[in-house]
Amino acid sequence: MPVTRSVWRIVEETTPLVIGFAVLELIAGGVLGVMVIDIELLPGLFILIPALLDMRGGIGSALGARLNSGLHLGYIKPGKVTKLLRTNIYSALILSVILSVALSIFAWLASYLSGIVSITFIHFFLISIIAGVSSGVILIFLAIFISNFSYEKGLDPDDVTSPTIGAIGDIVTVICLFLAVKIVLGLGI
Amino acid sequence: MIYSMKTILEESIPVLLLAGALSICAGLILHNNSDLLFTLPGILVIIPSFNNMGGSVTSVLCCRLSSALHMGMIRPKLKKTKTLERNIFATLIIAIISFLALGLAAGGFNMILGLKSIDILIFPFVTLAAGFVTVLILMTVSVLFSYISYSRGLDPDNMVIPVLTSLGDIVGVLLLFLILTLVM
Repeated sequence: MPVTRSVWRIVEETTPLVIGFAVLELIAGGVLGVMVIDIELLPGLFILIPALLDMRGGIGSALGARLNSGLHLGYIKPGKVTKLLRTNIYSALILSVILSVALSIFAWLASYLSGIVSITFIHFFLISIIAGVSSGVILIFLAIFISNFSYEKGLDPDDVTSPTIGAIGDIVTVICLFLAVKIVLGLGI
Repeated sequence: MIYSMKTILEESIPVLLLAGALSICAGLILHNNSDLLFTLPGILVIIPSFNNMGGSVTSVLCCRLSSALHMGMIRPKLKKTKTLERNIFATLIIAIISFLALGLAAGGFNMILGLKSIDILIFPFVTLAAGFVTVLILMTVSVLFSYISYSRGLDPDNMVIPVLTSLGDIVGVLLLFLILTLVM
């Protein structure tokens, strides 16, 4: 029973994973640090960034967890496209679109209500949709791959699968955000 | 567990929207400190890791507590028990080691990328101080939420973790900038 374990057992088991994933996520932070010159050109973009990162983690990890239960219960077969797999893919796609639109509305509303001089709603909308949907599509395939891989290797879904999807998800999202920013700046609107 | 698309969407959308609205608040705090982030982009580098670390350290606590509650090893009453004490103690040790390590790794990473940041010797203590207080706050919320949602018959796993993640963002960045202004 994990809960009755001694303090040091808990520390020993958890700490390497927490540090490992944090170091992996420094890559996402590094991309943000490098793109700071572009962010400066789009005032108010910071408002959207934490929400965009959390959304990806939320959708991706939940998808990974459902795929994992599906695999363990035998409703999803490794490497086969079953009905349940399709349902999960479509749901994650629809969630990505709905949430991307909602977050751009939230971000614009927040900047409008607090009187921040920021980019227009169209900017928020385009950046959120391009970054959210493109990273969503990549993450769906990634979640399928990682859950299949960890199922075959017998890795713990809670300890390994979800944080892995979360950490790689952040890197993918930041790169997609970078591309979205470049596209919007390139359009010159 | 066969989920239909309708169930997945119905269960996910409200939580994700709430979490999104909370994360926008974290974004507003980042925006308010834009000047600092533009002059010292090295601080921006730790934001994704720092935000997730507070959430993940306390989510683990929440998972262990909810298993313990489900198995009847602790009762949903706020009394000092050995199991609870042990878990809180372990969480605090994990937080101290992890946040120190994050500051060190980020300092090194910034040097490699050539990004301007605060002194590499101070960085670990900034992440430690901000991270430790964040974890203290999130842990209290985590324990309270696990107990409340359990005694109301809700599954703590579904409720607490998304809220903790977003709350962690807000508390985390707020404390990070507070400590930064104190040391600078």
